[in-house]
Amino acid sequence: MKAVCWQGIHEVAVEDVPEPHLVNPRDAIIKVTSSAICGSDLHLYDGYIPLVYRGDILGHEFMGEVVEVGSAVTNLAVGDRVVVPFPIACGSCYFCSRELYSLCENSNPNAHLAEKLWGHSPAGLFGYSHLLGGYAGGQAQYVRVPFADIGPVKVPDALTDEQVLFLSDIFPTGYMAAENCNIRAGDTVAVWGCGPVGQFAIKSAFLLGAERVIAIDRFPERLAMAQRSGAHTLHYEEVDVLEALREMTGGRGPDSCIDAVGMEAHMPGANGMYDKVKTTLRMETDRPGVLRQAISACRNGGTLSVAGVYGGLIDKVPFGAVVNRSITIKTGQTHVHHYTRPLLERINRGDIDPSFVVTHRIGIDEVPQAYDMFRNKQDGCIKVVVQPWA
Amino acid sequence: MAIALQRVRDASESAARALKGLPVKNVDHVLAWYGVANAVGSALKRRMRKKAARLPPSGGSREVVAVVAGVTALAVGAYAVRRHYLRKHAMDQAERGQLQASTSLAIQATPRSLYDLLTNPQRLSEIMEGVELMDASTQGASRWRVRSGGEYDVHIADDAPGSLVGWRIIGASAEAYRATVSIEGTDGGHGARVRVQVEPDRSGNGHASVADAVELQAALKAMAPAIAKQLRRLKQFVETGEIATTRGQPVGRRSMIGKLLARGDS
Repeated sequence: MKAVCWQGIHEVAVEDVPEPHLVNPRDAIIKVTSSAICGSDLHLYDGYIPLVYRGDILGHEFMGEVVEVGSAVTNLAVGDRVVVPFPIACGSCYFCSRELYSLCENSNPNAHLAEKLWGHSPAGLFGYSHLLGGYAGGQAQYVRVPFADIGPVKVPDALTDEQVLFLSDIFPTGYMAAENCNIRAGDTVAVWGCGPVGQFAIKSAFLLGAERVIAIDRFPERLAMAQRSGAHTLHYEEVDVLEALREMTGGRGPDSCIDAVGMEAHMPGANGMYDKVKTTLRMETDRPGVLRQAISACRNGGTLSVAGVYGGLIDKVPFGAVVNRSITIKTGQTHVHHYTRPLLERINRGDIDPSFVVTHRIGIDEVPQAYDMFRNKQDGCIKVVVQPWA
Repeated sequence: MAIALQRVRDASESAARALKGLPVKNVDHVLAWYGVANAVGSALKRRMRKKAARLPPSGGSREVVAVVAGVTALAVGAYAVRRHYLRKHAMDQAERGQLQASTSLAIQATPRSLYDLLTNPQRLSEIMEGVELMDASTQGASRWRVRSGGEYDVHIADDAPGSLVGWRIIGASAEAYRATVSIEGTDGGHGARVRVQVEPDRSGNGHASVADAVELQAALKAMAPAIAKQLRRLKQFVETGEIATTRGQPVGRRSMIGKLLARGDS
């Protein structure tokens, strides 16, 4: 089968690899009908995530048709059309029973590696670092899905792939980011980053009752999309973001701030330069410019919700501001399984059509160029959907 | 100020460009560059040595010798002090009966069901990795073969149904270990806390010598990751009915180093 394999920094290739097979009784094999390139795939592409090896199959946003099920999978049948959450969760451990699925204790076969870096291990993920299991991902024609009785969600035929595909990651991720803000009537929510997760965070903040959303980015097409969702926009290279946010909120600051950027933030001025030098010299693993700015911007007693991915060590984060101004920080890899069904219901009801975010549709052979285009934000690229059989 | 900032920005950008310019894509390339740098370094060193040989000895070179000798003496001293304390630590632990490897995990199961599983060699053999059950015909006794080498006789030595089971493990060369699993139930859905402890069985052999203690400490340290892995497998099996793995999954062309690194995957 064809699969997108990591080759090294800024290089992926489509390779012919063997098809996956059932290994455990709770596995299923999915024939992928649609897959997507995620912003966090770019962290792998840019070499910011450790323990990715040449030959690893990428991709953690995918859906398709069930073609084989293990002996213990009774809720799925061959032919079912399903969307698969990106974290792999057993459904029965301490964390799964509390619906904190991305912290599953039983799905990361390399838990000992994650424990060394992070103290404890989270769940295994598809198509990511070997720290998180090194599971083969969904930018391929077939995928083996472990714990298939828990993860995959059946979707109605009336909805197109593009309407439901993003239940695998970015819709729940944006939604959880907004939910973590504990939005109340009249609230202002500021969202850094108008990539796909930022776009869903904006939509979700409105769905959850925010009065005003302020979206921050520098790419006109992304700001325009945010505007179409009803957000006020700030171009961070043209205005002083902190000053503008103070002015728009009567000097108080936004009630909640969402960091939908993560470890590779571009920031103007000394803030950005500092991290550029330090990450280049390998003295810091991530560039936390947005995190610093969002902490400074957030109102006293407000919430900072971090949806962007961070991998390692950051510095010069103003923690004094967090403590002295009683800021709550909420974050985490998305507990996708908790959100898939209620969000599918919202799509069904017509509250939201997630396909608004798609700008490019390609076949699997075009994926290597698409990574480059997505990384460099060329051709107005916001979200790329891959059809592995096209 | 603005000009100075611009200069720093230019310098950082050109440094970033220079680093990006190197064809470093994966670990193989890093090693290749290391090899090239090493070869160049060695060639330079040879040239410098040849040059130095042609010059008469100077006061400068005597100072270098003195500094090198001083640093070497310090390093040797530090090594000796460290070795002394490690040996002392091992001996102290041996005397206090604390030479052991231990690990603990919370498992979502009742203490009784865990106890029943632990005292059933057939079921344990389905869960444990790298060992094979040879015989379990006698009540409370079994014989196991370790795939990496060696056979062991195992007898239940301590038994408190529902809370503790301990085994005495005797190898072919008469080395003996005692492995104990204690199970503590908790409230509020936190699962049972399961603690595995492996220690040398010294019954009848008196105190360990210093050399023995150091060797045993090293052996136990080497054993610790395997013990943790077996306990994690037990947890996965009990909670999910299977052991999570990526073995046998499709993969593209690996680099040489990638092949080695990925071999550690479970």
